[in-house]
Amino acid sequence: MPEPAAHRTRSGILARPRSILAAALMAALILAGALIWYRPYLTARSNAISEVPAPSALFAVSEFSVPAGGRACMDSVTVNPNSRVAAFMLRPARPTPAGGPPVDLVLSAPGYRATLHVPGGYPGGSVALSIASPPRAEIGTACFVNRGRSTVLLDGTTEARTVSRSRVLVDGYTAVGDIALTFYDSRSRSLLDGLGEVFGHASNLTDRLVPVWLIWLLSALVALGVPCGMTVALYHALRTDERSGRI
Amino acid sequence: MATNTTTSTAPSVAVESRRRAIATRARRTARRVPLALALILLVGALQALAWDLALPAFQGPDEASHFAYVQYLAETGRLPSSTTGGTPDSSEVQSALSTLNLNPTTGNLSARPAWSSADLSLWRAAEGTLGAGSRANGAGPNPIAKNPPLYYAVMAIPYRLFVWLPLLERLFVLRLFNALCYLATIALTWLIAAEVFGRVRWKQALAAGAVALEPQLAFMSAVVNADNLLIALTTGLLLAALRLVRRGPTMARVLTCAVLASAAVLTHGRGLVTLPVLATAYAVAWLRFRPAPRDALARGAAAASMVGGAFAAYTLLGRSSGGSLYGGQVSELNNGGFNVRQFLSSIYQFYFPRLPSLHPRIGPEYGYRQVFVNTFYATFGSLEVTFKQHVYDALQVLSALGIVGFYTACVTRWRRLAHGWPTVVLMLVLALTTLFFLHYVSYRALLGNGGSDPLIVGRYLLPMVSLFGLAIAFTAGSLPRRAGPLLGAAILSLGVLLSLGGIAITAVRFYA
Repeated sequence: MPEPAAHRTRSGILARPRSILAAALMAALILAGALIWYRPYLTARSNAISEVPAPSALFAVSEFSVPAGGRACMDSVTVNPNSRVAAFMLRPARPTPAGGPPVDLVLSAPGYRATLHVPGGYPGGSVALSIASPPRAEIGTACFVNRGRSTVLLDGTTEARTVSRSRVLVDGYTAVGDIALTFYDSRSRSLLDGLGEVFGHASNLTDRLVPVWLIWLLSALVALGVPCGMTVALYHALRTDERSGRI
Repeated sequence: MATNTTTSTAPSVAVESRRRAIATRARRTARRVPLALALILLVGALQALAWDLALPAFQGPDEASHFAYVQYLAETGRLPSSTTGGTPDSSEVQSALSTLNLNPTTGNLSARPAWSSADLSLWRAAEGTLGAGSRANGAGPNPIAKNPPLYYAVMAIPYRLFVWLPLLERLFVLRLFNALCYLATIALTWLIAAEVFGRVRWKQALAAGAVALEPQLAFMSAVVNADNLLIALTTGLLLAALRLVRRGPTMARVLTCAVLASAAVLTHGRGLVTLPVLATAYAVAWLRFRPAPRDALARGAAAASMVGGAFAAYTLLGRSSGGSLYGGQVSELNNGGFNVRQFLSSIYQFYFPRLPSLHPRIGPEYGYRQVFVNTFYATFGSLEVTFKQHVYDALQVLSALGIVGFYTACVTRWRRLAHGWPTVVLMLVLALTTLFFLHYVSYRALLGNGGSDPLIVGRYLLPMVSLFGLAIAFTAGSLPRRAGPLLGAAILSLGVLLSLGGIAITAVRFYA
C-alpha cells in the first residue's frame, strides 16, 4: 500500500509526515548554519603563512645575542616561492636613544640569495621584511648579520619541545635553540582561494599517499556526504517508523 | 599431468564454493544492516578519513608515544619499558619528528610542520639513509608503556601488514584501522538503543548519530591512541551487560561480558571501571533470574577465572616491561597523602563554587566546564586547536538545557524507568564509576605533581559516549510525538556543523 504523503491531525488539518519535516528542518538548519558560521571564516582575507622554519617559544622566550659585526646563522631553512615576507623579533641589547643597530637577514640556497636590511635606530619589536622569493622551494641558510656597533638580541626558543630541525651558529659557535623566524605570503587571500595550497601541504605530509586531486574529491565528498548522509539517515529511520506505526 | 590437473581442480572447486558461500553470507548480512545505520556508518567513515588528512602525523594527544609502543611491539615482539631503555621513539620516528618539524608543531599554535615539496624531498632523503634497526630501537623509557598491551598488540597486526610502507604512509593506514573502533562504537550504540528503546528506528538513528557526530570522538578516530579501543570495548560491554540483565544469564552472555571487561582491563588503566559494571550486571542478572545455584556457580567461576586470568596476564606483562600495575595508580590509593575529606571537597569544588567553610581546591582553576564542555566536545590536536569561546559558551548553555530536559523526562517517565530498573542501574553504575575514577585519578595527580596538572580531559568521558547518545534520544523521545524528531533533527544539525567545523579549523591550523 503506498505511503500517504501526509496525514490529518485531530483538527483535520493536513499535516506533513514527521520524516519530511525533520529532514527539511535539518537541511535548513545545516544550510543556515553553514552560511552564518562557515562563510565568514572561509571568505575572510588574511596573509597566509608560507613556512615556519623556527616557531616562537611556547612558554619562555630566549634571546640570542649577536655582537657588533657578528652573525647568527640557521641552517635547513626552507624558502618557498610564496615566501614574500620574513618576520622575526629583535631589540638592542642596551636600550639607547640611538636605538638598535642595523641588521641584515641573508637568505641563501644553491642558486638563490636574498638580502633584507633592517635600518638601525629601532626601539625593538617585531620586524616584517619583503623577500625576493625563489622560483621553487629551496632549503638553505638564514643569517642575521649585525652591521652596527652594538649588540642586538634576537628572540627565539631553547625549549626542547619547540626547537626545530635547524641548527644555530653564532659567530661559528653552536648555540642551543632556534631564532624564531616565519615567512608569510604578502598577498592577502581568503581560505577558499588558498585551498589548493592547503591540500598540497596535507598531501605532502602523507608522503603523497593521498594526492592533491584525491583530497579535493574527498573534501567534496565529506562536505556533502556528512550533512546529506545524516539527514537521509534520520529521514529514512523516521519513514521506517511511520510505515511500521512505531511513531 | 592429467592426474595433477584433477587433484588440483578438486580443492580449487571446494575453495571456490566456500568463497561463494562466504560472499553470499556477507551479502545477506549487509542486507540486514538497516539503511539508516549504514548511512550513519558512512558518515563516520567519511569523518574518520577527513580527520586522518586534517591531522598531520603525531599531532594527536600523545600520538608519538602510542605509535612508539605499537612500533616497538610489532618490530621486536617485546613490550617497551616505562622506566628504562635508550630512547622512547625509534630513530625512524625521531628523524620524522625532527626533519618535518613535527616536534615543535605539537601544541604550539605559532608552529607549522615542514610542508613544502622541498621538505618532503629532505625527509625522503633522510628516511633513505636510516639504517637497519632504525624502526626497532624505541625501547623506552616510554611514559605510555605503563598501559596494558592489548590495543598495541591489535594495532601491531596492521603495522606488520603494512610494514613495507614508508613511515608517513604507514601511520596514515594505521589510523584508518584505528577508526574501526570508532565505527564499532557507533554500531554498538545503535544496538544499545534498540535494546533500550525497542526497534524505534528514529531513536536508534538519533543515539547513534549523536555519537557519530561527537566531534571529539571523531577526532580521536584518527589518533593512534589506546582510548579508541577502550571506548569500543566499554560500549560493547554495556550492550552485553544490558542483554545479560534483560534476557537472562546464559553461559554465552556471562562469558561475553567477562571477555569484554577483561579486554578493557588489558587495554587501559581506565578499563578498570568496567569491573564494577560487570559485577553489577552479574548481581542484577542473578536477582532477576535466580539461576540454579550450581549454574550460577559454574558461570560465576568461568567469568571470575576469565577476569582473573586477564589480571594475572597483565601483572606478569607489567613486571616484564619494568613497570608496576597500571603505572602504580591502583596501589596509590593506599599511599600517604590521600585525604578523604580533601578528595570530596575537590569533587564538590569541581562542580560548584567553593563554600566559605571549605579549603581551596588544590590545583589550577579547572572544573566541569573544561572537562564536560571544552574538552569533551571539541578540543583538537594536542589541546591547542579550539573553537572560539562563544561556541563553548553556547555548548554549555545547550548542555545545561539538555540536562534539565533529561531530568524532566526522567521525572515524567519515572514509572517506566522504575520498571526498567536493571537497565537504569547498569547505566548509572557505568556513569558514576567512570566519574569517580576520573576524579580520583585527577586528585592523585594533583597531589603528585604539586597541583600543576589535573590530568583529566573530556576525552576520558568518551567510554560512556553511548550514554550521551542514549540520553539525547531518551529526552527527545519523551517530547510530544511531533516535537521529538524535530528536536533530534536540530541536535544532529548542530552535530554536523560542529564536526565539519572541527575538521576545518584543524586543517587550517596545521596546513594554512
